[in-house]
Amino acid sequence: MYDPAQDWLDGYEISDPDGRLVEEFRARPMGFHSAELQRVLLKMQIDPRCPNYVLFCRTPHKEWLIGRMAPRAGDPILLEEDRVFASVEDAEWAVFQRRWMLLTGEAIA
Amino acid sequence: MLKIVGYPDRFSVRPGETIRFMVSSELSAPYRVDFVRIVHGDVNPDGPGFKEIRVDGPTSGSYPSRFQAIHPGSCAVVADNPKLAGLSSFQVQAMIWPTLPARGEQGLIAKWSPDRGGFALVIDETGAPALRVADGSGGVNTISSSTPLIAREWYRIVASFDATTNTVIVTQLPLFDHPLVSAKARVEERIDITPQLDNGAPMTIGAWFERAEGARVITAGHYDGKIDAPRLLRRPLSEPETEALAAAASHHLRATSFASPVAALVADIVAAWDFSQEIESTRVCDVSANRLDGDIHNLPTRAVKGHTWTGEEMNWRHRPEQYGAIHFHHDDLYDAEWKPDFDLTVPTDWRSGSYAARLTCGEYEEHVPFFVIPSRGKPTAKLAFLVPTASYMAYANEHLLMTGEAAAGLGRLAVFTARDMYVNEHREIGYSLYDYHADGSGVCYSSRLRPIINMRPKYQFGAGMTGSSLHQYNADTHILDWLEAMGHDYDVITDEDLHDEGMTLLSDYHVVMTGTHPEYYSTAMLDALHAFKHQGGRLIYMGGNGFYWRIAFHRDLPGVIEVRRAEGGIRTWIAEPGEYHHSFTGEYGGMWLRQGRPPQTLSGVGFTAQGFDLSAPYKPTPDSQDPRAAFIFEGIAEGALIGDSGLVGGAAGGFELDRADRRHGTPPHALVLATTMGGHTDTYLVVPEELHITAANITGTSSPLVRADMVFFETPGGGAVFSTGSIAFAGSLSPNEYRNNASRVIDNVVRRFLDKTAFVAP
Ligand SMILES: [Fe+2]
Repeated sequence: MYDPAQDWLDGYEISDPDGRLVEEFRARPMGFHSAELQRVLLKMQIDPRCPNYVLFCRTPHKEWLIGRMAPRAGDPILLEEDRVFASVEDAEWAVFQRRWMLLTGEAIA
Repeated sequence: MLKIVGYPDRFSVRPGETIRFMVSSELSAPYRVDFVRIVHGDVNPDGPGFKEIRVDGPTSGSYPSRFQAIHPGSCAVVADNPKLAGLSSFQVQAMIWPTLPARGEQGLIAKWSPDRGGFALVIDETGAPALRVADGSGGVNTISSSTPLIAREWYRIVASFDATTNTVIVTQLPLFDHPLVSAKARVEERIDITPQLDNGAPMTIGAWFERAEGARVITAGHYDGKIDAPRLLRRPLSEPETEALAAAASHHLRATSFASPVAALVADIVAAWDFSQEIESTRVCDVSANRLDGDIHNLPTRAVKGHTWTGEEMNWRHRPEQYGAIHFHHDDLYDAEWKPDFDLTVPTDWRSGSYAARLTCGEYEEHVPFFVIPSRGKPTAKLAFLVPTASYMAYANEHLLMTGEAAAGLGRLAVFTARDMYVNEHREIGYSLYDYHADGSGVCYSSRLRPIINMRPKYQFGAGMTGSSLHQYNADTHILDWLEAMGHDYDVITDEDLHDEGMTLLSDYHVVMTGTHPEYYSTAMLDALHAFKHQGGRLIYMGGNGFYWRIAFHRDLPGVIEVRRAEGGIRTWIAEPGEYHHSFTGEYGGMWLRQGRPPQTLSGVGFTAQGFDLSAPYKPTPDSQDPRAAFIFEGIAEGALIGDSGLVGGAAGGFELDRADRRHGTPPHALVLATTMGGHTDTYLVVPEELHITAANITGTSSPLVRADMVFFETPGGGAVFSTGSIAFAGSLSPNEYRNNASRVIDNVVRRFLDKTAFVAP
């Protein structure tokens, strides 16, 4: 049976000509967000082009890594050990940058 | 990664009683055992820090490392019997509803020994039913229907061996024939070996026998799916006979049944298991005259719809014959059944409290928690901290965040630790009540007789808010630490004690204080708390989303609970239609709200919204000015926000939130003292049971239902209830050396509640 949801991409395209949304996220990765930024984040969380990113806390309250869930349940989380973040916020920002690239083709710094 | 894990044989133990510990160590060096009292499990450097106190235990010391395996997978086992072992010809048949037929070889019904022969009706590598027979001296034949089964469809599978012709027949017949799908099959094959059923092996349903370890049967080839009405005959039946037997009910299978349509066959029935009998037990009953009853292993799901379910009856107690199926899972686990490594007879001079056996070996450390409760009828304090062990069990080894769907609901990234890695990769330790089995069915049983990797001091929860990121066991240490820091004497008691002893356990206490998330309640537990509050008791509800799901404990098996996620609520899985009643008790499952006993009737507040990022402080309402509440706000600046700092989300109101609601039973005289309304981000969403029509205004900034209400009310008999309605609240007790207004509010409440002077209802 064909599952149309596998191809789901909503019609909404991310655009941020004046860089306002990127700035908003960078300033506050968690907390109150504008409706427009929330829409971007929702898209990032469910768009099939984005891998299932997670964070891995290697040292409590000190070190975080970016990881991806393996496609098969029970397989080890795929960790990126070469880049260590000093806060959850920094790691969230790094994942945001990647998702932005995946969805818009634009690099943000 | 963890190298030493363990579990105790009980969570609560009294002075003088003995608790046993089972340990598995992958290390070669011996490990050291120390006993510690757990005061504060939170390692957040912004808080009071980790606190454990070593206590002298008679069995502290060094113990040899040994690895102990876990054998997950459920099945039914029937001991070997001459009636089984003596068979030469046979026919085996069952109704099956496979859920993962393509997963690989799975045993349906077997009398199989890996080295001594036998038969095994299996689903083969191709997903088709097959009969495997072996003669015990190396000869093995497998006859497959070669027609793969379709998942979640009922089939009648029949396999026979005729010793006079050495012929095997395997048939599969779908109960519902879908157009254009070929699901029927019949194969007949002559074989050149003689199956050897006198093989010393038990009969197994849902797996095959692998080996015996002493009295313990180790099985393999575990099946995913339902089996209904498995029957064994001592000769192959003709097709019309098979048809008649398949249509016959259990009561037709006895020799004394005069009106039986299968009277001529009854003498050929070796066993006919009827899983609708004794559903609450661990037995599977053979209704034939031979009475070859068996036992279930690792708790497959019972009280599930069988192939005869008509949709007219939703309660298995009313029409048990329509609930003749058992749903087996290759990843079911009830009891790891490890051998004990050490025990502890609790010294009589140990105070009541939260303890752990601390296992250390080099860099590796593990805590195995337990709780010392006071001697029967001899409380040592006026305040009891009720440890929500049932809710800890519900969350035991939770895998939910490891699925993309749940993580997307967080509004941020899940944050895992090495413990989560272990839970992810060691699926043999079993699942929580939040998880799905590999076959997509919900996990409705959870036990504590296995290592619980996430119920540990120092554990951080991947969705546990910013800051300390705690949940359940470790979050509750915020309360224990606060009680100690403030100098309040306390006993600990646990949910299982409350379930077993009811109000008797509580009667000598003035105050019962809950944990941060006492979500899962059996009928007996809820009744006991209601009785306490109506007999002058004082209840301090320190959490959110409490008293929410009904659970059941098993009649015969210790340490296991069941949930049926019926009707409504935040449900990570949804109970199947017709399966809303607990198999353990027959009680109607689901939310207490849907059973006429909303949480508001006990605590004045009930679940209303959840979010996983930041918390919000409470704003006092006009009710806070009421003279009845004066004692609560003593020493607090008028109009000040309450709990504007904290380790869980940065404030006191957060994570899961409860609100007062007259319609749900908040007493009319209750004071809603303060609320977090308007302070929450849009990752907070109203719970689905409050959404009657879907609408967009369900978020923190758009719905008045997203809030925690702080509530106080007096009860009959001079008692009272105080509720925070927020999981995060306990994280706000310690800032500024415990001198903050959230701490002050709780301290005011505790002091007044400990005072026996009766509260007078207005
Ligand atoms: Fe919960």
